[in-house]
Amino acid sequence: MAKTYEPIASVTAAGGESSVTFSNIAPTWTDLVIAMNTRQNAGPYVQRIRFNGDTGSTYSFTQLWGDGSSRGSGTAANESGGPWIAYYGAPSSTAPQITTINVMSYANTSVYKTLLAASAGPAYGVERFVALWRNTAAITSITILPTGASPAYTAGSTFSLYGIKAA
Amino acid sequence: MATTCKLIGKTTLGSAASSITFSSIPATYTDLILVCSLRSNYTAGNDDYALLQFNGETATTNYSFRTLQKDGGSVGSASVTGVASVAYLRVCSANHTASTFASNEVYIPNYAGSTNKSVSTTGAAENNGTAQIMGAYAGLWANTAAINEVRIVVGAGTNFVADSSAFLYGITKA
Repeated sequence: MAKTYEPIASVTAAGGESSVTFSNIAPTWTDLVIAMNTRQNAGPYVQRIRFNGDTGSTYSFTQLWGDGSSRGSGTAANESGGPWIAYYGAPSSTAPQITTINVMSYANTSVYKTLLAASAGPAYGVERFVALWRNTAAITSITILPTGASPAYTAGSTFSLYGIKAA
Repeated sequence: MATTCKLIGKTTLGSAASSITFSSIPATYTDLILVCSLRSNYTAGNDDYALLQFNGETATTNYSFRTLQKDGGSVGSASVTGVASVAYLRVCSANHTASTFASNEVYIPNYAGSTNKSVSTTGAAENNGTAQIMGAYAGLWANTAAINEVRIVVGAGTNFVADSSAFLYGITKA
């Protein structure tokens, strides 16, 4: 049986991090999973993901969201700096925002890269994302970024990267 | 390198039961994933739901959640309190297409930590008709205790039917 959910790396924020990066990701697995349990020091609480340090407008995403009363959907084409993987966030005074991200075929150099993200914050809302990175390069680094005026993760926020291998 | 996603417990009902419980969950892992396939004997409505409770807590005070769901009509979002559950799990009813079970996945990070517990769930009850429902939920259990028991309790019906199943996995970070 193929090994799955192999732990690759994890980061626990000391507080004040304006990004978290997993580097030197080997092409060993089929897919990647990122599990995040985060709080941020200030809003807005949008979080992005960036591959191989690409800050260009090579990303797009579609979003479905609900905040407990309002709900909606949205899309963004030619997004710069990375697609959103969470819109609602968690300030330090609330329960953390849970975000799980599946990055498919991350090392396949014949395809653009896609992801699915599920984000849930009991204090603010629940969201789902699908995103595209229009690049065939194997993903070797992943950066997670909070956004906002002075964005940072608070101490104790956790980020875990796992590898999934097909049978 | 250690392999995670270890199976902690599994239940496939051989006969009808009103709940499924995983108890004595060790604090060994980083996160938990619960995957369950559910159908009930509910006949009075289109679809059923299930409650998800921790450590045997059945009072409503510490549970709350936000929803994003589609039930065949419009998309809705609600903020829910006063329910003894950290989220709704979706459950096919007796009125759904025969032999069809609703699918749910629950992610529970930092379940053994000393902070309040957040959960993220996605579930869908498919039906060859108009009574499908799918939902995503952000739940909070305002309790700092380590989670050592996970219980799934049928909502509107009186029992889950045979072949309903649940699997609990533990995930360990690097």
